[in-house]
Amino acid sequence: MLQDLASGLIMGLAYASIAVGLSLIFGVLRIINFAHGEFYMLGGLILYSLTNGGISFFPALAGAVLGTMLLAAVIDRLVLKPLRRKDDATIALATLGISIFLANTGLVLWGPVPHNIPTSFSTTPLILPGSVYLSRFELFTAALTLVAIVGLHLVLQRTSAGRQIRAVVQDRDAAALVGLDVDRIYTTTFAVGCGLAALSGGLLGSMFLVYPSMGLAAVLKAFVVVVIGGMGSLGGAVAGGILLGVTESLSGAWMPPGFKDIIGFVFIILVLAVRPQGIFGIKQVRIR
Amino acid sequence: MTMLDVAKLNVAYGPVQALRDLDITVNAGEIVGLIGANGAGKTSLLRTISGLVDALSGSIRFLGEDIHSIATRKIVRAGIAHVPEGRHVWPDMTVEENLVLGGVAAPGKASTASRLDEILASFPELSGRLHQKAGTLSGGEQQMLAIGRGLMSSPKLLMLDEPSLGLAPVIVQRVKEIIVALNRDGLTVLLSEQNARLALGATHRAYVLAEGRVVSSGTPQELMQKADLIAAYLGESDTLPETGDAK
Repeated sequence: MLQDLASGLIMGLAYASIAVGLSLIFGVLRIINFAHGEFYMLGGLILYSLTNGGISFFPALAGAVLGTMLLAAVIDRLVLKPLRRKDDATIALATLGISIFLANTGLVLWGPVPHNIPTSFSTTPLILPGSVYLSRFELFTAALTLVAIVGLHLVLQRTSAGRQIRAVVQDRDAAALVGLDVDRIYTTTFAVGCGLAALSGGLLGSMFLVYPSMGLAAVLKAFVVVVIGGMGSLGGAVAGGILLGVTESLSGAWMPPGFKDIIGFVFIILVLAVRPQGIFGIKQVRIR
Repeated sequence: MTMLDVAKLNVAYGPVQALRDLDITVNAGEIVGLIGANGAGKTSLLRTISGLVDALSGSIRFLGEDIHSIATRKIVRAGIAHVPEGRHVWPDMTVEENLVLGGVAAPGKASTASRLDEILASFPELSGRLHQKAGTLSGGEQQMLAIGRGLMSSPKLLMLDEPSLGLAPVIVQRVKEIIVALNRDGLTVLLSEQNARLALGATHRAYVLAEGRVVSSGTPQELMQKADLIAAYLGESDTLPETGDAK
């Protein structure tokens, strides 16, 4: 029971970090990033190539995240920026196009075979009180994810750049009318959101395996989390991620493992039926 | 001196034409009114001047420079502040955060802090509420905050879109006093209003808009001679000021 809770928390934090990026991008750019899972995948596969090329784990992880952020910024400028004033459906289709393009590029570059990423962590598990076994890498994953999410929160609340991002979230026209560079804020936010996905891709990819189609499962989880927590709410994404991770993990005790993925969708149905804006969501999402 | 010169402006949202060959000018030091019913094109005109909406054709010149189809942030830096209809303060940010962000485009000569002090002096209703979330302010206070935020960029031209919307008459009077006081200090104002009492009571000249065109223009006294016409365009009969109310 405690073991399931601990593993669930770690998975939940990883779900949260993918979902926080998705939610942040939705809040600022007002688009649903269907390519989010592919940036998660790129984080994992770039990390694999860098470690495989002899770079040690930590610089390789930083390189994978920064590389993915740079690519996301370029994609925003080349593909999404020209579509800013188009309708939501056009932009959603564009991100779907980016998703297909990146998934197939991944297939060309890395092939369909799953790869294993070696980490420099000892494989002896730590035994926590209550005979909970966790690997050192799992703890590192949880800690780094937590640092990334808390760091993002502090940047949003305390810095001028964060204030500008919140201004765009709360009222885009007003942000433009005081002279904020809304386009630059969009690009930065898209890169940061995709970078969080890449971080999770690298961390979870090192726990499991990395392969070009790994993004699909991740983005589905992230959508579930964002719907549960509420679109555009970072706290909601964290709470939703942990709720989903822990419930999935605890369900192992009384459900066959194959049914685990159902839980998220049951959550979605319940939330949409009872509180369609999500547990922490903004009631009226202004899409304009 | 002509500050703002809009000529032959055409704007459309898909098949719907919002502005048709519209011409207006604003001279430095003036308060110019835009009067018209909902959908007459007042908001479209201001949004096009600010670069939030692209024009199909026509020209917009500000202080001699062509500002047609340049980025909104550059238009703000050129000296135009636009206080949008519905106030659009950032509801989950404090009054102070709203004002400070309003100053991001201010020219370097006046520091944000001293601008902030000046604005709080003109809007005493805000100074006690600096750390309160903007969304918890009353409508009138939000309007003051929206105007104050616009002033943080040290504009040469202040464009106000329906500042009286949804406000009690006593607050509308306060808004009018503020506009007149700002103008006395040298600020040029373009004021869009459905409330003709405010629009004609505070302005030097006004344009009457209907269906995206200018249908009449002149001083408040001249326009009041055509009170019936304006009332017909506004679709209301009791919004005109009594004679003598105008400056």
